Parts: sequence; structure tokens; C-alpha cells
Amino acid sequence: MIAVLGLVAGVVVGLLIEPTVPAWLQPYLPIAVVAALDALFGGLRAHLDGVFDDKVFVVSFLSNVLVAALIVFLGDQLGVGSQLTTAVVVVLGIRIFSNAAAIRRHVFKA
Amino acid sequence: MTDPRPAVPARRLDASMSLLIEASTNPLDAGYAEAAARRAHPHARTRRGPAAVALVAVLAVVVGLGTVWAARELRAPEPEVLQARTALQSEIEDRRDAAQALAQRNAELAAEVEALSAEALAGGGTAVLEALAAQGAAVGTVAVGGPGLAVTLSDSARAAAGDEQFADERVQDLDLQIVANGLWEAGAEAIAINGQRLTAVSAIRSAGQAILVDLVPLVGPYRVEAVGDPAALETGLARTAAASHLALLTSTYGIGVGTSRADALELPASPVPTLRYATPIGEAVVAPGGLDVSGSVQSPGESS
Repeated sequence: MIAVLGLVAGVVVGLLIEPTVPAWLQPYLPIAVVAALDALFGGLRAHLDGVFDDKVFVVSFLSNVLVAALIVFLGDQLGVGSQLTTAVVVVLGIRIFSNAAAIRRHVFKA
Repeated sequence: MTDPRPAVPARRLDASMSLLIEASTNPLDAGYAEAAARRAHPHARTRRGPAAVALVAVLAVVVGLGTVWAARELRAPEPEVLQARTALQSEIEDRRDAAQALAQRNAELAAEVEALSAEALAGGGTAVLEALAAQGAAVGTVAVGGPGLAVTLSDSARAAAGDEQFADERVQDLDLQIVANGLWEAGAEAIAINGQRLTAVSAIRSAGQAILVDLVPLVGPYRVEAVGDPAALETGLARTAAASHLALLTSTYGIGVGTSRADALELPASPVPTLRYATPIGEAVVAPGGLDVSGSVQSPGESS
């Protein structure tokens, strides 16, 4: 519950304050948002499964974003940034999709 | 043939794609299950300390904030603007390269014309050539060099720093016009501003903040070079209205003005002017406008 409240507070503050993201962070924003979505759907599914845990949620959220950004950073350094970005997006996309399917089964029983 | 193993459960058709199966059938973080198992354990601490709760809350706020910021940043129509700007920039660069290539070709052709006309006039004696050179120097189609005077004008320090508030402390086209006219008045034989030779039909104008000389944009500091007797030019300039204008620029607008004598100035030729009228020598022809143009530019072939 604490995590959800904190998340909502963060979103509200983020909407109120005009963001200025430094230029060197720009390439990692899309991948970070996708990773955040993945953690968000995972948390929602865990909540519906009845196994939600604040700490696991926040830690998985942060580590997902950081690992995804790190992979893209490494890819950029190695010259395969766009390919690794695609790989991360594919893996996270599959996870998001199947988590969404599990949530759907919970909500609609279908 | 005997199989020691009991009948295995039916093999999945897509068993060879284990990676995809794992990704799609088990997407939930194992951490949730482990945490649930820990909670279910009889000796588990069900309550976390206040520090841990606060940490989780802070991290959640950070995560929400970061995600919203990232999403807002991504939603901004930056890419389109950037794309359009990149496209425009590359087009500008392409056109500039093309213009440079054409200007170079123009210069080559002008040199060729110069060489050919000198060759064609070789039979006409040195008098013709000398007259041509003298007229070319006066008209501006021939590069000239020699001693002279250089007047340098630069924007005030505040305006040069890009402060819009002090935009009127920039050098303006009028200032360069007055200096150029003052130098002509003082007896200059040829004038060039930042390497742009002034001719009888040159224009010093401004477009926005840029000063154009013959449609070529110049950037400051502006160096007006005049070929002539340095001492005569200096005293002559001091007697013209340009001198008081320069003093005003320095005192009121903080524009830097420097005057220096130079032993060897090199003024380039202006681009070859468009040949509008050409008449054979010895025949007075009245142009459509009613002007007597018999003294206008003569084509080399006809004058030899």
C-alpha cells in the first residue's frame, strides 16, 4: 500500500513540476519507461494473485529500469545499441503482454 | 527395444522454443512468490521496521516521479522538430556547398577570361593592357594591392555577448556605408570590407542582424581596407563626416573603432560584373534607355 501511495504521490509531483531531463539521459528514457511499465504490470498481477509485496515491487521496478538502461548503455558503447534496445523491448514486451493476459484472466475470469 | 523410462508425458510441440515459453508463461517476478513464502513461514517477521517502510515509500515516489518525467519528456514533439531542423540544416549545407562550388567555378572562368583577354590584347601593345588594368582596378574587377588604411569596427562587448538588450550597440550597415564613403572621399583607390571588394554598384545593406555586402553576409569585426596613400587617407578621413560618426559610435554605443596604416593590403577582385552592353569600338550606339554606352565595357575580341 505504501508503495502504491508513494507511486501516486510521485506521479502527481511529476505532473506538477516541469521536467527537464538532461540530454545524456535521453536515449535511455524509452527503454526505462517500458521497463517501468513491465514492473507496473507485474505488480498489478501480483496484487491480483494476492502475493503483492511493497519491497519486491519497488526493488524490481528500480532494478528493471536500471538493468534495461545499463544494457542499452553497454550496447551504445559496443556499437549495437539499437539491436540491444530491440532485444530489451521484445523481452519486456512479451512479459508485459503475458502479465496483461494474467490480469485479464483475473478480472474477467476469461 | 526397451525403454527404461516410464512413459513420458506428451512432449510439448513447442518445446524447442523454451526461451519464449519461459518468457511468456512465467513472467511474474519470482521475488513476489518468495516474499509470499517468507510471509507464510511461521517465524517470519510480518511487520517491517519504520525505516524500511519509509525507504520503500521514498523509492516509490522516486520511481513514480522518474517515470512521469520520462514519459512527459518523450511525449514532447521534440523528434519532429529535431528532424525538421536536421533536414533544413543538411539542405542549407548542401546549398552552401553547391554555391561554393559555383563560386569557385566562376573564379576559374574569370581567371580564364582574364588570361584569354590578356593574350588577345597582347598584339595591341602595353598601352591597352595598362589602360585595362587601371580601369579594372577602378571598377573593381582586378585585384589590387599596396599601402593603405584599415578601419576596424567591432560590436560593443555587451552586444557581442549576445545580449538582446544592447542590440543597438552592434555595428550597422549605415556605419559601414559612412566609413566607406568617407574613405572614397579621402581619396581611396579601392576599398574592401572583410575581403568583399566594393565596386561602383556595390550595396552595403542589412538583413536582420547580418550586414550584407553585395548580398554576401559578413560577420564582425568589420575591417574596411582602403588602398591609397596612408597619410593622405588618414588625414582625409579625419576631415570627413565619417570621423565624427566614428567618434559618436565609440562614445555613445561603445563600438570599437580602430584605424591603422598598412604597408601591404591585398584587396581581391570583385566577381566579374554581368556584361549588359557591348559595342564595337568606333561606333557610337545609343542604348534602348537613351544612354550613350559607347564607353561601356568592351568585349576583348572586338577591341583588339
